[in-house]
Amino acid sequence: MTWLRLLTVLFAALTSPARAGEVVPDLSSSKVEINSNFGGAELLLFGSITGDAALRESEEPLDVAVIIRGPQSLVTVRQKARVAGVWANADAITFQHVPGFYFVAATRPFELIATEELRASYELGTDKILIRPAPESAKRAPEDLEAFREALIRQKKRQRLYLDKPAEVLVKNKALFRTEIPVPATVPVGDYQARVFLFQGGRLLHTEMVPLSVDKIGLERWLFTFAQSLPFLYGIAAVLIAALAGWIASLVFRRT
Amino acid sequence: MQIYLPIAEMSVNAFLFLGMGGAVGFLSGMFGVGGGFLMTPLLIFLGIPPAVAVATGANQIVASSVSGVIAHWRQKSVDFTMGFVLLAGGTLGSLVGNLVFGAFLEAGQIDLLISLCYVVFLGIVGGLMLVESIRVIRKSNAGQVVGLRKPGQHNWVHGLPLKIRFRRSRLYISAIPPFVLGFFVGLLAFIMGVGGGFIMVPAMIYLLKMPTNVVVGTSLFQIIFVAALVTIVHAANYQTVDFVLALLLLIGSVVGAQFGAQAGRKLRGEQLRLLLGLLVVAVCLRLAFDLVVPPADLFSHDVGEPL
Repeated sequence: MTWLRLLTVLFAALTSPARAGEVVPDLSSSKVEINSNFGGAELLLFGSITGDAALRESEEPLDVAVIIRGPQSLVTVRQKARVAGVWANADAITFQHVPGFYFVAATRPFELIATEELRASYELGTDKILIRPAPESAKRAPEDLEAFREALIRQKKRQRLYLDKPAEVLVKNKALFRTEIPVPATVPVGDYQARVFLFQGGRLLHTEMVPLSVDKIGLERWLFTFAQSLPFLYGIAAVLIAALAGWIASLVFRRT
Repeated sequence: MQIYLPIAEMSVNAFLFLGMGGAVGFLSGMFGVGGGFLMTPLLIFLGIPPAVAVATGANQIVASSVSGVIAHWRQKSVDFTMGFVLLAGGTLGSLVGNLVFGAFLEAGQIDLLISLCYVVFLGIVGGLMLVESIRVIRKSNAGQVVGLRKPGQHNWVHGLPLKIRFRRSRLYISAIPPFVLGFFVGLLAFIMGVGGGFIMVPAMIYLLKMPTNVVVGTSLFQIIFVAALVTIVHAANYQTVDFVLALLLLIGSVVGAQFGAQAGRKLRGEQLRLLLGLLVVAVCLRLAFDLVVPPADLFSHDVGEPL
């Protein structure tokens, strides 16, 4: 190699970003099945970190973040006030594209692993979720929108549907990572987006997605579909079965 | 054992709800009431969303009422003519109830409507029961013979037009009062998820002056059809009937009702009414407390359409 070419390669290696770092993620189960005794589930998201020597030997910390986002819907948030002695819903704001589930985890606290801009643009942290008002609530004052939005996030966190786990992604030898995701029983049905991010020194190196879906199966699914698609027939069937049960009970317990 | 409710979309302890069905069934067997007025508030206390509690409660009432009516039918204590008039009123009342329910649901005030209705009606009925049973117990303790009110005595409501002969009740009165009573009960049944027996039975005794032996069977007859209509309309319009929950409750309640009926035979009428009155007032006070005390979180949210 000539002296000039050596300098060029050295120059390129020193000035270009460490692009050679990737994550290869996978999930313990790509489908959460809700059956008759579903009480929640524990998922494991894991994978490997591939990269060159520069990646591993670098002084800068290597961080992995995971965001799992559930299906979106409209949500109406209501606020109570005292009306004629009782507490009743007095005000409401509707938001759109609200995720039904939001899990964020990383190797270290979120502010340490990515810049403010990256955190905002990827919604890294439940405080960063973009929850926009629906058209009918678009003209509300910013303070109200913020107060209602905060109330929604607080309630979702209490229901364990929004989870912040700032130091719960484990990385081994800068080669393997894993995190556990507790899924509550009230988790919404639908398609989820599970995304893994690789950061180094606050910069994003790579991101990759894993498919995940949640659905009812078996009898639970059949009953739900029946109730939604043929509601009138479902009602009649429910009544007939109840009447039958009452009749059987009267036979079984007949007194002379 | 955890069981997942497909419509309520939550996981509950199966034994807890079987037991609850059993307890309410026991009380209904003991006092001869449908039990819906206890079932729905208890479901709400245990975390079931109010709209699902109302619709699923109505489903369960069909079962316990059918079981009860068959027992009464064998003893010939159902006045079918009266039952049909009540039923006609009840059907219209339920349909109007559907309009009211829908309006409050749209306005985001359905939880408030359900709670208020319960507080008002449980309060009135529970209060009256307590007052009446205490009065009777005091009098019989003082050695006075408590006279039975005589059936067949007429008051002004009986004189209204459209008189019909109600054979089993031995009454020849206007059909308007039973129709209006049925209407009112049907309206409340739709909103509260009850059978309405706790209003209908006293009204039949004191307003219509029906003989007591026909009252329970006839009211159960009307309740079956009203509860069935309420279940079907709630299912068709709002998809809030959770059949898995209904099944847990009805298994518990039909079994509990049998034991309750046996236990009830060991107590005197006015003692039973005092106990029931206390229970009803207790539930009423608890609901009123929840309405009046500042809630833990001023905010609540409903998840809507996917978007």
